[in-house]
Amino acid sequence: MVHRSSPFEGLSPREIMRREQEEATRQPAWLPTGTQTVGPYFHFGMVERGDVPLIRGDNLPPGQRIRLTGAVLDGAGAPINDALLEIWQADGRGRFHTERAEPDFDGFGRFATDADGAFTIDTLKPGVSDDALPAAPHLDVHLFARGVLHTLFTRIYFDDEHNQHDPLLAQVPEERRDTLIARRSTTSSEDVVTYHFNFYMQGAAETVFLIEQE
Amino acid sequence: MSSLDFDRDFDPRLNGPVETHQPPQVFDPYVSTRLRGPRNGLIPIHSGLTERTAPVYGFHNIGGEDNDLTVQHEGTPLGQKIIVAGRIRDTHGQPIPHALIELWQANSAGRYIHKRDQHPAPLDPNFTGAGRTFADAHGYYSFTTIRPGAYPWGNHYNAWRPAHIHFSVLGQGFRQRLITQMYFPDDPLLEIDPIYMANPDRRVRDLLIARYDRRFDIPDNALGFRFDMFLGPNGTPLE
Ligand SMILES: [Fe+3]
Repeated sequence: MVHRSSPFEGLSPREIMRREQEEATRQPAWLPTGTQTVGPYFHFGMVERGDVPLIRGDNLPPGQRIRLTGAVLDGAGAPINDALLEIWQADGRGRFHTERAEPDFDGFGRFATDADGAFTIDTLKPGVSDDALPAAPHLDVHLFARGVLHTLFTRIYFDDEHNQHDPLLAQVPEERRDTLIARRSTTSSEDVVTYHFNFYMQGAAETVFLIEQE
Repeated sequence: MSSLDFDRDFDPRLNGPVETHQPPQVFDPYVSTRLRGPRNGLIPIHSGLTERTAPVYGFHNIGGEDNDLTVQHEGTPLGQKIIVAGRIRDTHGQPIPHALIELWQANSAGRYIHKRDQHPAPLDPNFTGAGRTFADAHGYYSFTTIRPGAYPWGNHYNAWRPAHIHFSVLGQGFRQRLITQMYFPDDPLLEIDPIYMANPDRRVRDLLIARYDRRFDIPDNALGFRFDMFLGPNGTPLE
């Protein structure tokens, strides 16, 4: 085999330029747009008609009705009354509704916190999702707020599920996994099971936020 | 260069290695971050199917007037009419088709219609300041609106936000997601704005500034600005 000192050795100038062009389109060559805070006035731009509910009617896929309540709290324990939660989840069978918008449930919703920093999310409990490695039931969450410069992303799991084998949760340091688990409330009715989950932006119980790696 | 590729040549500042420096979680000059920015770093993970999928965003019935903020009321809003148009691509340069783009902004006097905005500048009965549209199959989008005014805010003594438009973009997976703000060229308030300056990389900051683009002008009617946005490729890391 002939040793080549340059990957372009022996190629015509035309071929070199063609390959450069190919290379340029294959490699990440563009800076991602910088993230900025959503600011305090997003409501009329992103949740114009109030929240974007997950459950919009009675025509629903199979699944247990649940209610997730909680609050978003800052480093001093004060409620954040201008936060926005964006949710994406599978239905009760673990399926993602990626094909077309279902009239009454497609797994996407938006919930702004109220004056007390609180939110109430009525939805279907997601099933075990049909992933390469089965993922324990969870909600994907984006958290936006004034004073939050990044697009914060995390998952919420449920304490009455088998979370110990979840491939994503296993990557979170063990001592902080609890911050991603919603607690089943004793006040649950048979029709609607209630869970509780707080976002702590700072402090000993600071919620884990995630970022993808290669 | 053998041939002119419009999107690549549009701005030389775009080219360069991707060593994105997104803003820190806590940026002291922006006071609200002090108690709201997580102090621990983001935990690096390999994501799953949930992060790579997304619904067909159908929750807004997007109509013909939703991307023209100047025709949503009976009269014409006050201020400088502008076109804001551009392209949504990933960091490989691939167009992201049919992204949902939402924007919201203050009116020409620097006042939001939002009930919490107490800035005593006048509201404009003919301007709401919210718009939404889908990018086309090649990632192109366009809005017609009014150039927003600067407005004061409580961050520090005599603090003013430079004129800006808030953008939200939803791409092809839940994590192909961007919340950002668009600024205008030659604004002296930019370099003293803690939100704009929170991004430590000057090149990334520059990309938040739209460029005046004569080709988008409506002659004798509106000025054109180009604002392109680059999201992480779906299913691969953002930085
Ligand atoms: Fe603003």
